[in-house]
This record gives sequence, C-alpha cells and structure tokens, in this order.
Amino acid sequence: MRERWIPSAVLAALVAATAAAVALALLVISVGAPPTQADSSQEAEMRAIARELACPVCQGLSVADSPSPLAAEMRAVILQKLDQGETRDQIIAYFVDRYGESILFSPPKRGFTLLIWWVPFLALAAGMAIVGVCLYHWLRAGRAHRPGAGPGDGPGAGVEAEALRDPELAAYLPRLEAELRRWREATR
Amino acid sequence: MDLGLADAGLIASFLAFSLAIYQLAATIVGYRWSLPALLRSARNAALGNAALLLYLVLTLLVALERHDFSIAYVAEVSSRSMPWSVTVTSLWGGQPGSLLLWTCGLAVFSAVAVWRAYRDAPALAPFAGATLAAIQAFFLFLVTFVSSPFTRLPVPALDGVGLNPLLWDDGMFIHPPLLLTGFMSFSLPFAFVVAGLLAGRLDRAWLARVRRWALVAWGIQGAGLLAGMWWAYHVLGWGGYWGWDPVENAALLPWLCATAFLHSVQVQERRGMLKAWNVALIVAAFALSIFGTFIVRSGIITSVHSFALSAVGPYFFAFLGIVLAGSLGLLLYRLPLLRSEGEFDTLLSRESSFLVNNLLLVGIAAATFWGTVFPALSEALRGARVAVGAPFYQQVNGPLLLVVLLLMGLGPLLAWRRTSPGRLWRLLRWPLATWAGVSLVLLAFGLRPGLAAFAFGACAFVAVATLLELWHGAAVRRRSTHEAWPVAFWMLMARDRRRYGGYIVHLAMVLIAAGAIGQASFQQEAATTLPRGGSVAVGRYRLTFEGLFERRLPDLDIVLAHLRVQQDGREIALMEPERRTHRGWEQQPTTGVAIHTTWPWLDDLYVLLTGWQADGSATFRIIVNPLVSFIWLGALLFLAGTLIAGWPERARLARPAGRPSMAVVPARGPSLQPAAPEVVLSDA
Repeated sequence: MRERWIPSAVLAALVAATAAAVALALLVISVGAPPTQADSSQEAEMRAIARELACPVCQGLSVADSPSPLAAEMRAVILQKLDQGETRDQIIAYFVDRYGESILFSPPKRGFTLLIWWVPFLALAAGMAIVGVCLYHWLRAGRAHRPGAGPGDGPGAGVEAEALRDPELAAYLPRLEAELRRWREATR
Repeated sequence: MDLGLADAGLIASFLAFSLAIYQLAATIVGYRWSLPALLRSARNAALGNAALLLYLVLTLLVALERHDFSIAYVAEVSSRSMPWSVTVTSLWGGQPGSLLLWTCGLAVFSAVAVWRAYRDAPALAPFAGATLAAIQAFFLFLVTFVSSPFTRLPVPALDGVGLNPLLWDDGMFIHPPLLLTGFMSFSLPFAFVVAGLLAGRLDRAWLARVRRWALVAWGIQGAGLLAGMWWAYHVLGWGGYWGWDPVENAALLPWLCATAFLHSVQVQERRGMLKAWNVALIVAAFALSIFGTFIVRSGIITSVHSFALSAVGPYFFAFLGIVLAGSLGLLLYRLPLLRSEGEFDTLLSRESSFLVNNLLLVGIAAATFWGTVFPALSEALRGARVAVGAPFYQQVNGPLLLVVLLLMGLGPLLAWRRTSPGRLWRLLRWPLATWAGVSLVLLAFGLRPGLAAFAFGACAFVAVATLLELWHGAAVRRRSTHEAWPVAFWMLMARDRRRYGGYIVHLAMVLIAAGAIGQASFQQEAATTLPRGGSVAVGRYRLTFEGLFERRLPDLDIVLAHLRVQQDGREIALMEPERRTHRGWEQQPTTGVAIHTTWPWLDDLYVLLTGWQADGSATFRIIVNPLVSFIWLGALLFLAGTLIAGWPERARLARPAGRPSMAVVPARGPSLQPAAPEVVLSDA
C-alpha cells in the first residue's frame, strides 16, 4: 500500500540526513577545523598557531584575534620560535608549559575535557531518539484513526494542499478540520 | 541633615519593594476572597511601581550627571572626564545599575501587561499579575538590599573611576539597554504561562497571549543580539562580530528557546499537540534569561571564585531553583490538561518539520549552554580551568546551523498533515536546481573551499524557496483580485502577517548566514609594518601608507594614519584607522577601526592601527572580511519581518458593551477544565 512506504521512506531519509549531519560534525571535530586558506607562509602558520591559543587577558578571544598588547607579544614569540625552526606542537607545548592548559583555545580532545566534545552529540542523539519515539506513536495513532483514508495524492489531499497555498481559502481550513473531526468522532 | 540623591534613591527603592510585595499579597488575597476592590488596588500598584522605578532611574541619572561621588556606584562607573553622553550610558555600566534598569523595564512592561490582562483576560490577570509581582519583588529585593546603586561611600570620592574607554561609544546607548530589555521581557510570556497553568485555562486565547509576549521578547532580544554584533565589529576591533564568549552565549540561549517556541506553538494552534513541550520552552527561555542577566554582569563564567565574591550570586541561584521547581511542579499538576489532542498523519508534513526544527534549535542551545558552563564545571570538579573558545562552537553548532538553514527552505513548503511527494517535488525542483546551479557555478569559477560553494548554494536554495512561496501567494491573490504586484504583495502580508513576517525573517536569516559563511571562509589577513609611502597588497587591494597625523582634543589624543586604497589599480578610498588615548586612561589606548566596503565585491576592508615607531613607520592589521555587509542588511530585514509579524492587530471589534461590574462570574465557554472563576474589574 502506498501509505506504508511513504512514511518509512521519509523516516529513513530523515534519519539518514540527521545521521549525516552528526557524522559530518564528528568528522569536523576529529580532524579539527579545516584551514581557511592554503597559505604556506610563516605568517599564516603563526596565525594558525595563534588561533589555537586563548588570549590570557581577554574574554573569549584567541591570540590571533585579540588586540591586546600581550597577544601581540605572544604572536611575536610564535614568529620567533618558528624562525628557530620549532614545530607547531613544540610551540603550543611551550605555552601550555608556561600558562597551563587553560591557554588552549579549545579543550584538548582527551581525558576529562573529552566530555565537552561528546556530551552535545549524546544529547542530540537522545533528543533524536525521543522525537523518533514520539513520531512513531503519533503516526500510529493517526493511522489507527483513519483506517481507510490513505495519505498521499488522494483528491482530498490535493484540495487541502492547494488551499494551504491560498491564503483566502486557508482561513477556512481550521474550521473545516474541526468540523471534520467532530463528524468523525460522532460517527465513530 | 538634608536628604541627598542617595537617600531619595534608597527610600524610593524600599518603597518600590514594599509596593511589589503589597501587589503580590493584594492579588492573592483579593483573588482568594473575591475582593475586586483589592484586585483593582493591586492593578494600580503595578502602575505605581512603574512610576517609582522610572523615578529611581531618573534619580540615578541625575546623580551621575551631577557627579555625586558620595554614591559608590557613581564613583565606580563615572568620572569627571567623561562626556555627558557617556555618563548617561554608565547608568548600565555596572551590575547595580543594570539590575535597576532591568527592574524598571519589567515594571513598565508588567504595568502594561497587567492592565491589559484585567481588561481582556480577567481569568488570567490575577495570576499573571501575582507572578510578575513576585519576579519584580525579587529584583527589587536585590536592588534595595543586596546590590543597591545608591549605597553611599564612607567618604565621598573626589573623582570617579569611570568606564573603560572601550565603552565610550554611541553603541552603548543601544546594545546593553536592548539586551537588558530583552532579558527582562521573557518574564511576560512566563508570567502568562504560569497564569494559564494556575488558572487551568490553557485555551486558544491564553496561547495567543503567551505567543504575542514571546514574540515581543524574541524580537527585542534578537535586535539586541544584532546590535551587539554590530558593536563588536565596529568598536571592539578584533575583526569579527561574534566571538561565542560567555556573555554573548548567555544572550543567545533564551532567544534560541523562544525561536523554537515560536515554531512549535503553531503545532499546538493547528493540531493541539506539544502543549507541555511549549510550556517547557517558555519556562526554559525565562530561566535562561535570568541566568543570562546574572552572567552578564558577574564574573562567574570567568571564574567560579568570583561567584563567591559576587553578592547576588546565591540569590540568583536560589531564585532560579524556585522558578524551575515551581514550574515543574505546576507542569506536572496540570499535565492532564496538557494532553495532546492530535496525531500525525504522515511524516512528510509541516508538523514533523517543526519537530526537527525544535530538536535542532534546542540542541544548539544545549551545546552552547554546555560550552558556556563547562569552564566553571571543570574548575569546580577538578580544579583546573579550561578555555572553551570559538572553535568548539563552530565545530559543534556549525553543522547543526547548516541543517537548520536547509530546514528553513524545506519546512514552509510542507503542508500541514500531509504533503504528497509529487507535490513536494514540484515545489522543490526550482529551489533545488538553484542550489545545484549556484554551487556548480561557484565551483567552476574556482571558489574554494568547496564546502563554502555548497553552503552558498544552500542559502540560494532557501532564498528561492521562500521567495517562490511569497510569489505564489501574491499570484493567487492577483488571479482573484487583479491587483498590481506591489499591492498584491502588500495585501498578502496584511492578510497573514505572522506567516509572511516569518518568511521575511527567514530571508533575513539567509542573508546573515551568507555573510557569516563568506566571512568565515574567505577572510584574509595581513599584519605589516610600513614605512611612510610603503604599500602592501591584501587580496585584490593595495594599501599605501601616507603618514601619521595627530589630533588633540581636550580629553583625548588621536593618532591617525592615512592609507590610500587601490582596487585593481584604481584608487577607491582613503582610510583613517585611529589609536585613541583618553586622558586618565593612558594605559588603555583604544582602536578606531577603519572599515570600507568595496564595490562590487562587497569586501569589508577592516584596518587597525596597532602601533608606530619613531621613524614614522606604522604597524597595521589589515583584514579583508567578505560579505559582512550582508549581515547588517539581514539585521534590517529581521527588524522589518519582526515588526510585520508582531505589529499589534487593530483592536478587536466585539468587546462586550455592558459588562457586569465587579462581579464574580463563572467561567464561560465549553470548558472541560476545572477553570478558575473570573473576577471582572471595571472602573465604573
């Protein structure tokens, strides 16, 4: 029957789309933010490193963005260390050594701070499950109420959909719906 | 001893606190024992409270302008060197003043709401009035006893400390008051939700009232957020407009919940479903607005230790606990009235798209909340602070926001109850074709990263889908009325303002998304030191440094650089980034950003003067921010759409002429609910 495959196909598509979004997000997280530009110069490398460090004297700004003098000094230190041939990891380790882990602009993806990365997605997955269960029940209730009426391209559905596109007619729809429901309940 | 402004303020705030308590008590007693005179008195007390709070704000303003440094708050936030206009903004420059302004806003709004409710919805009015009075009493308690802006110093100061010069900006007039008003106004939908639950009247009229106030709060908060973005971009000078810092997040959270509510409330209106969920969203928005009010002016997120130092902290958390526990109790108590009436016909329907919308918006809010409190949590649990910066939010919220964007294009095309796949395909094919076309063309022209081309295509998809909806509506009208296109559009909007106002807000969001994608993907930056006459190329632009100039004002030293800008060899602008040093704030020079939007590429050239040397060379930070002007265009469209959706309808015609005066009448209508009796007030 037509109404059997449509909802399940759409449900599958919906779940697939959301799963794809979550997968995409996880991918982005696991590989880190993609570099915005392919620029190999030392200046760009300095900015990439500075973007991973939190400016210690401001709220919510990275060393790359902060206009504070301290951040400017830190940028100079990064450039100097790059000149001396140090790698990105060495430079970041140097700052973590001096300032502690709170210098990292995003929490490291290990140990306790792994929590911050996983909880949003666990919460989202839980929300998806709840919405899925609700949808399942409501759809079953809806089907139980209209044993004969199949959704889809029936003549009624077309008129209704057309009316919804027309603001003049749309005003009458709720009333029609209420009447229909009353009638359905009276004749049940 | 004569009374000073401090005494006037202290006395008036004590009076206002007492009046709020009286309003609460009089409402309860008047309702319980059906005493209309007492209820009327409570209603008038709301007006009196508003008057007292306006007086308090005025008093503080006068104290600030008179430099009455015997008052601790005045000495903290203002100084003699501040111009008078900056002194006005220092009213909300610190916690006590902000709380006072918050409370004043609530007093004015609740006077209006309570007065109107007694007229139009007498069954809800006492409950809403009592809830608002309780909130008001709590804040007045803070303003009067805990964090008063009128506390005296033991010895009057000679001069005040004053505001950080970074805040000496006209943006201070708009952004903080808008956000404080926004935070405050979430109290109103909450009060009516509580009123409906208490009275057991969860009908359509109740829902309409809650929705209207939610829309007001949502609109004000949205405007405040956009004003904050503008301010961050034009004044703070770090090159961006949204840094995901705790204060910004705190302001975003209630707005996200309200956005979710404004969508899911339609499911309740049309299908009688999601009732308990909608109540929960309003409660969450209010709780988060209280949380935000607290965060904005305390340092708790910076460090848990400042929580202990902040006097208002424990009170706020106790209040939040009461709000949450009380609301949950009420919700459970009234759960039988909140049972879902409807059911879903198919998955491919407007209802289910709203469900997904809610899941995503609440998911974004939850992730943002989690990231905001995580540093404090980490410090409390293991004693080590972590920073949670923009990358976390970009990586977690970014994909979710992209899905929300797509849903914005898809959702409005779905009909209620069911949409046939064939019909959906007919509606979707042109938007989808646009998506594919735009993405491919951008890729063909070498736009990289490919993700950005895909995302711009998605923006085009949503824009075309929305515009087609508008066009279809106008075409249908024209077929029956033969109006000209502009008239047809205008009448279409007028006929269903919520719907079409909503579409305009969607278009605004598309513009903002396009600007954000452009800025995030294609920002270019150079930091360079130029000798006089030297030049640097950034992207397609070449900037030539022509020299430094100095301007001395009585309280301000400005050093400014002249930079000539060439685009593809043609001169397009003279830019003047500045460095300002305010007298008395020599340690904290502020930057004057120079911004020039180029044509036709709509790049923002964003130039900061970061320093100079004795030989006349100067150091600049030059950023090319593509498409940021789309965000400000989107902000204007957001305001327009919100006004269209929320402008008050003309007063309903049939209001009963001869009302019973001061009579207790039983609830009208076919109510299956144990409804509370109605007390009708009239001044006759």
